[in-house]
Amino acid sequence: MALALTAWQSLSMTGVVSPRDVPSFTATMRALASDVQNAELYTSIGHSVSAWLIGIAIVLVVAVPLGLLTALSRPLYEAMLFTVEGVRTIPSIAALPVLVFIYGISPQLTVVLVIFTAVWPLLIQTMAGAHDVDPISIQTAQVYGLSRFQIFRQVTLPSALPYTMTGIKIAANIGLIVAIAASLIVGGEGLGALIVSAAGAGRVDLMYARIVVTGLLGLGVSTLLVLTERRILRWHSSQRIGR
Amino acid sequence: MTSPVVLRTLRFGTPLGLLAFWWFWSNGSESLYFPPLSDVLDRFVEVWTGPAFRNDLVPSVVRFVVGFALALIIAIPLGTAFGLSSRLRRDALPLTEFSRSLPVAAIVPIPLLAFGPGFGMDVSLILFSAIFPILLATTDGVRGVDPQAVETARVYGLNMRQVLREVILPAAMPPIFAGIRVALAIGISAMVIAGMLSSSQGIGAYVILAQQSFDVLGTWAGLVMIGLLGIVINGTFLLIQSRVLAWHTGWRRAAKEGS
Amino acid sequence: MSTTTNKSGETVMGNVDDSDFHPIDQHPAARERVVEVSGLSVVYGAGSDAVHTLKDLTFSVDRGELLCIVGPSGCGKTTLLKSVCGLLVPTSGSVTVAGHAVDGPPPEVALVFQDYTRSLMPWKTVLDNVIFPLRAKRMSRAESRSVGLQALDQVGLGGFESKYPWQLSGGMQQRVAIARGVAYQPEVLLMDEPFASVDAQTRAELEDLVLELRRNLGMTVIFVTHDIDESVYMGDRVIVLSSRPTTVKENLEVGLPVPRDQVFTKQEPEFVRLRTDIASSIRSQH
Repeated sequence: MALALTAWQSLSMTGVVSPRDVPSFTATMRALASDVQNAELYTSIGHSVSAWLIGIAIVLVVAVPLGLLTALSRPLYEAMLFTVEGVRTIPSIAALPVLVFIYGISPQLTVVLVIFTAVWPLLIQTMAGAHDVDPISIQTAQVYGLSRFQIFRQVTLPSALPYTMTGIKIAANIGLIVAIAASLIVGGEGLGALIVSAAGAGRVDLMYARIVVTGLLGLGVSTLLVLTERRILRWHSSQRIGR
Repeated sequence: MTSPVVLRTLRFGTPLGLLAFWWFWSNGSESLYFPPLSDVLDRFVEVWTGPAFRNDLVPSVVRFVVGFALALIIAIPLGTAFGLSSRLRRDALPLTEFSRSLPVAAIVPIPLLAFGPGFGMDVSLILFSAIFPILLATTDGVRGVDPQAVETARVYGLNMRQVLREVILPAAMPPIFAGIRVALAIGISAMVIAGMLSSSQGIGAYVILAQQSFDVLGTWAGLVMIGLLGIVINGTFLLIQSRVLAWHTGWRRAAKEGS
Repeated sequence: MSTTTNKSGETVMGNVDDSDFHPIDQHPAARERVVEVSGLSVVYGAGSDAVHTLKDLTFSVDRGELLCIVGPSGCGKTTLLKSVCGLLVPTSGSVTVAGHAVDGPPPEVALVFQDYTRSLMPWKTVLDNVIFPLRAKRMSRAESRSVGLQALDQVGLGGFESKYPWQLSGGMQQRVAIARGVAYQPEVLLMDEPFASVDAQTRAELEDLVLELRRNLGMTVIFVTHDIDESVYMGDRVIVLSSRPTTVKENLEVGLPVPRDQVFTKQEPEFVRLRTDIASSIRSQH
């Protein structure tokens, strides 16, 4: 890490790359130091993050129950499998222009884009988890006379949980990416628009500073998710030491 | 139990049914933003047999292929090295973790400034966004290779190079393919985003310009082409995967039935 | 026939005491030591956390001999084998195979692991699993193929060469692993609890297969097991290890007639006596 930072610094100081394209590390940090006193930075982060949170919340409420329900109904599972697999290969960002027609450049636009992006991976993971239950576990439960609903609650749910957690991680990460991409591409309020405005004003150092902020935000979100997963899945073997 | 015929009908019929529903529902639609699907398809054919094929579609596909190939060429050897050396992993991990969590979109301005809109910018963006899933999957895959498989090969006299080729890489192939699949999805998005932002050339540029000029049918025609590209690229990938990893499917099934 | 005559035809005491570790010494011309382990110690960790896994182990194996090593579970049998095949560097002491000190996998040694699911490569066919070590040694495709097919024939798997290991039963998979060992034509074949994960019937078949292969090919075999009956049934000699820190506790010549028989050998008074001796020796360690 330190090596990479040194390389960055010396690259721009020795003039290998023009400081107009790539400012030095110290210049970027100076810009960052001044930018953190700028209220606009926080409102922009707030816009991006709140649209992302609302979108993800809606996705959770829809995709998790729907995915789990496929464990109870084979026809539902079959009906959804190819449909979901097909739709998710279409990059959601392609829908952005059409969404702009419908919602204009607004917070709703970002929320809807987040939903369209994040719902598929979570649905697929949850469906996979609901169907990858060890048949022996189910048979054991049947032999001991558990009802269908009890089996669902005590066997299927815990088995599917690790998959769902993976799905939530993927969904949250790519949801954040499109939340920022939306304002970057079509403007409006958000971290992406802030990066563009710095670039437009010719403040390359500031642009880099805001990219660093975005990276830290992404890093913070994924760290938080990993920690949450560890807490929830303490009993699961994938979380044990050594792997 | 529902009969297998019904289940198969549901599996293949539902996506087709939804498309048919869209066709009839939008037929004669007066809505400004949801034009009839038949009109969209007419425009689709018109656009992509016209100059946009050469000016937007071909450049996008070429840049995607070049960027993705570079990502594979860099990420797989690097990931293998990371997987084998815990020191390398420890030294480089913070940097990869940070770079990976940089939303693709956020870094777009960097290549835009460095290369200007065009080939270099698009390729570097696709490369940057596709490299991390492959790198991390390769690292994990190589780390996860059963030490006993490696020991077996070593006792039977294989040198490190041979162990790598005969044991470690084949064993890591399933996770590497999983990483490639994730990278494909992100890479295609990067291809579109790059075009949308540079607005110069490429399929992303085509849709964003159509949207900005309120050409609703043109925007839809672009969206359908991007969707089609996604499906074709993924389909090709799954075909290659089913060839390369044929053993893995059988092995998994055997392990499941055996237990 | 005498129950106390081993395969070389000499009469031996059933129980050789500690002062008589190497009865071979009396016949230097007749026997050649292929493996020599002397003063072998393996310590994991350091300071107060140090775990002495092996402590001052000394024994040797003669050419053509089948030596069984038996001991309580967790006694470091696998650690011992890994030191012999060069996968593990001992803390002190030395291992010599065919006259060369071991400092990496020696070319004269092959190993059959207990867990065939982990030592057979699921992406290679049965034949490729058997011959990839030969291919790595630059043997031609045609030649390695014929060696491999012959080895598969010898373990009773002729006709299965183009299957994948996971398409076979557990016992057949372990036969593939044995065929790999045979095709490699080692001077010493090491087997690490090779039959611990197969059912009893298959196990008996595989035991007889190894005895037959070894008789036909004249291989030297070191056979590690936790099963006392198996060690007496298979071995020309049995070494009993103590639990941690592991040392050589007993060194017993097995004076049972060959070829061995799953039913009759196990009724011999010598068999019963040896298994009783070994069992009480292992039990007395706790």
